[in-house]
Amino acid sequence: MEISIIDYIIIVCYFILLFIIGFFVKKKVHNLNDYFLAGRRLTLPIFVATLVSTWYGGLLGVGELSFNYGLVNWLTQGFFWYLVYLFFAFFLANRIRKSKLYTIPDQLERFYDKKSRFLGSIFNFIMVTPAAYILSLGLIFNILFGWELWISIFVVSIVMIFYTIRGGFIGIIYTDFIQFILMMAGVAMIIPIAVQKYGGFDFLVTNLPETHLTLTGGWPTQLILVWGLLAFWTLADPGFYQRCYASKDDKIPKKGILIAIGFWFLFDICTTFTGMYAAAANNAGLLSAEATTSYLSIAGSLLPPVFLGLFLTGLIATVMSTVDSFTFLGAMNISHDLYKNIFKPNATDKQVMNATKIGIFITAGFAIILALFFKSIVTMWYTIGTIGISALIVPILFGFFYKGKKSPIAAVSSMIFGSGTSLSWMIYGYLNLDQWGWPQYIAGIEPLYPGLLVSLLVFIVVNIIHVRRMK
Amino acid sequence: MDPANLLILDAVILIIATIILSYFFIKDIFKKKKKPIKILKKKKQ
Repeated sequence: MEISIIDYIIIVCYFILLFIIGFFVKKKVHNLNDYFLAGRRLTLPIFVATLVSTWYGGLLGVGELSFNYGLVNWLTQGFFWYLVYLFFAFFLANRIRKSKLYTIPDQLERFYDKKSRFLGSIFNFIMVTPAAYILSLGLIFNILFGWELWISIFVVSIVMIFYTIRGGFIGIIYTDFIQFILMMAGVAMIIPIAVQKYGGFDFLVTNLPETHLTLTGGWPTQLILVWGLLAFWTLADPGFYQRCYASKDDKIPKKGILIAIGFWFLFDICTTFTGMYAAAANNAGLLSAEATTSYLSIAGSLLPPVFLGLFLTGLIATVMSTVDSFTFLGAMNISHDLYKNIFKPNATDKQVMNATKIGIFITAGFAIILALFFKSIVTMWYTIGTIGISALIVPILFGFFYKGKKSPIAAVSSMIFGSGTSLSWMIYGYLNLDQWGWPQYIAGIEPLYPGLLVSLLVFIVVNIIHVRRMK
Repeated sequence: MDPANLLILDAVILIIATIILSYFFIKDIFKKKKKPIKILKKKKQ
């Protein structure tokens, strides 16, 4: 891919801008509430911009799926998620805002006890690990600058750590805004050019396998439903909770999520069809692309200088906005949920803030190690999502919606057995690979199903027994 | 009509929506904080 000097200048300017924001934003932070939740002052436009940009981080993974399988990407990475977002907006957002807490483990302590908070913090930490996104950025830099993967990962992490440490959540909001504009503009500009250069729908029909143009992509129903269940990630996503807590009033979260769904809908169509155009051009011999980096290849072949620079910056910004938020959430897990609420209850605000800064380094370090160990972005999402969801969803939903008496032991057992089941199921699958190197699970069932089922059953049974004993 | 035109329309709407949201974002960020209004009480004579 040929990148002109002007494109490199645009990318470098973006990073300089992030540094400048990081440098000046510190003045806006007056206390711990500012650092964690921007003083709970998010207005509707700010809420939407930060939620949309943060939530959408796996652009290369989406590229990989739409390049390989076509429209099924929209079904599994878009449609199922919209349904869960709607549920979140109508049934959870307001309750979360009204609780005026800080994190998901705060909710678990409110519903159950400190042990639930402790265990929930660990699973929460796993879920916000930005490893998949750091790997994405590493791959992008590896291609753009030709640096080794580990060097790319370190450079990106240093920039992100700088502005996140200085500004906390306020720093994230300001950078999210820049990233929001860049990601929307970057993705939207490529589709009209692709249509003009390659041709309309006929080009896709001629050069793609039939399954690419069907909603199921030729996937087995079970696999599609597993991705559908992975959308439940939203219900335990710390980024959603943090933005609801940080809203200025009770109505903003619901309205904000509904507007955000509109943005995601438009954005998902652009990303899916960009991946499909890349695959079609590849099959037609007009482009040489690989699935994971298909967006980079198609942009490199279609866009003129300046536009290419903007697109690449948009691509980097999309991932960067998720990396910073997730790293900060992981750090809050360490400082607020574990340090302040478990190990040192009398810690002052200053000590908690310092612990958060150390937490940013720990979270980023953990993610870097994982990113260097795993090589596929999609596999990493799948693994982290399966374990985290099977642990957290059941206790959280019972906490919010079950009016009867709730047992803390039921919550802890449900988290342990649910995640333990899906993890063991997954390990078994990876120890028994088929001839193509795919894991073979017991009875062909994906690990999330038994994990969620066990989590649910254990919660119900233990809750009945323990509540009776408590009486 | 070629369905690809709908894709272009999608991209255009996305850009317009982004511009509108950005306008309101900037307006909120740079909104000056209102100074509290002092209520002058008439002194009872």
